[in-house]
Amino acid sequence: MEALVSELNRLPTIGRRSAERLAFHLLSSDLEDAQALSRSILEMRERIGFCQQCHNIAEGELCAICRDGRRDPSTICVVEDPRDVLAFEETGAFHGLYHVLGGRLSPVKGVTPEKLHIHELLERLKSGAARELILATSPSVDGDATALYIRNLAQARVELITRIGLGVSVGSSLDTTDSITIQRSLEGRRGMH
Amino acid sequence: MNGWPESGGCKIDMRLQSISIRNFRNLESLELEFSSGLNVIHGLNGQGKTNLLEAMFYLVTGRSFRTHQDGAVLPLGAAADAVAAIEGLVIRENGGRNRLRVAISRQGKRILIDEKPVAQLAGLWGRLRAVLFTPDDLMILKDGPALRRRMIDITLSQIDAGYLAALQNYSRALRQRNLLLRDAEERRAPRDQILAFNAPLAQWGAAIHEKRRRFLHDLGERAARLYAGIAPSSETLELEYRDALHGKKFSSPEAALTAWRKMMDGNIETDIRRGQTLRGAHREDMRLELSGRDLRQFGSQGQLRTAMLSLRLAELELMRDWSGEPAILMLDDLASELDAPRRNQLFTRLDAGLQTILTTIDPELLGSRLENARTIHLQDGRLISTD
Ligand SMILES: [Zn+2]
Repeated sequence: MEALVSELNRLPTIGRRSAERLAFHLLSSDLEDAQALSRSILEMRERIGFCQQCHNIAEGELCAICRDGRRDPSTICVVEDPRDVLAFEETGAFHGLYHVLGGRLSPVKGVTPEKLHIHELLERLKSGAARELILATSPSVDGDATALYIRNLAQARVELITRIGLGVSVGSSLDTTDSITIQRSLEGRRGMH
Repeated sequence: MNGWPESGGCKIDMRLQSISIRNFRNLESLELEFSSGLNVIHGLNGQGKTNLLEAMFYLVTGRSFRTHQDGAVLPLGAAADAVAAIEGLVIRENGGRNRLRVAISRQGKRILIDEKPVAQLAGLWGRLRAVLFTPDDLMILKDGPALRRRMIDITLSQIDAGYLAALQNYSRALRQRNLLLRDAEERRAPRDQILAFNAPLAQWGAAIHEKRRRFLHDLGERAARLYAGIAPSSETLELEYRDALHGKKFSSPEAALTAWRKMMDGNIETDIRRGQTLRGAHREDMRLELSGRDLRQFGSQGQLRTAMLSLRLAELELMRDWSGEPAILMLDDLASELDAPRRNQLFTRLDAGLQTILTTIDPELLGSRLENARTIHLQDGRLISTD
């Protein structure tokens, strides 16, 4: 029992009390329910990984978006997190491909360019398939710096680089921004100078 | 110009109706009601008068004006889970009511507005606006630029939400850039990353600059007029903004932004050698002159006191005019702050409708003004009497 409680306690937002409550709930629930839960956790870990092209979550080598032949490879939208991909997909307004960085630059937190998938993005641009790069990192100090950092490195490899400045509120991230706002800022995106 | 929700063109009244304090320094448990005019808190030294103002100012800025460490306000020898709590009721004439609460423990600080937690300190600013006037204020004029920037920041942040946001973003960008500079060996400095953080640093630096410029221009005019009224002589007080770009004027916000970018980009090599960002909003200052002579260097004690009084009165006026509602005056230690002539100058200039909360050892200093005042007698952190 104690082993389960301390495992649950290690999950984000789960405190000691909640962990105990969850453990007792699992103890009193049907055995089949508990088996289904542990099975789906294992299956998820075994089957889902990260896309080798865009670093979005994927079942297999490539994610569903990269595998989809109808997507337009001439536009790549650069986001911080797989949750941002979900937010864009919900709008249905974007038909290009993505590139997930896995965060944003923050020297204070030790996030250097090497810890993000920036090098992989530059490699990806070498093929010449992409004509536009949309930089959709968060409209924060670190998100702005990350966008500028990428622009400076990528501008020789792609025709057009645009920036989406989502929201006016500082620290707002894509996964809390509604679909209409995302769609509007996609339409209103501007070249980065 | 300003983004606080309550701001408008019309003048409305705002006041601190009551305050409740628990476990704050020597104030174990205190409940006070204030009048909308003059409130006089009196008692001997060391009884908790300044602690009370410190607690009150927590409701304005979410911070102490005496220490950088919140934990220092917990009573001596307090238990590990002790909580110092300050709760104030702010009432506006248009019917607006806000219950502001700041709770401080060794684990951190919690701010609640009308029982709802506020994630960012910025959520508190602008709910209760006040000008604080303390015996240490003369240091603002005598000491280095940091205290003068702090004075500007505290006042301007209360009336302009955009300024507070710009300050926070600027200091974040500065922290990131300075870390890159500090750890950099000269030849292997991550210039591409430093360059990337120059953009937000310049963006928010330019925003701060424009707001400070307008603020100090207005403040300087008001302070000069007030100074002339308090000390009728041929001396004229002048306030000059010593900005990062040496007073250069710009035709547009874009031109200013470009100049900030050029400054940051151009300083990279010097900054790498010195391991820090040498120029910017974090190095700006204001300079006061009396008939062309630097007040800091040449001002007499009396001139410094009159200048400081003029500045605080100018802030009160400016906050009222920019935000559309009067700010509260909090004055610590009436006797040591102001001599008799300057006390009279202060009181004749205060609006009748202005809420004032002051502390003093000797309430008799107030003379006949005491008749219409609410008096609060503190002893050993406890309320002895009130009327
Ligand atoms: Zn993919």
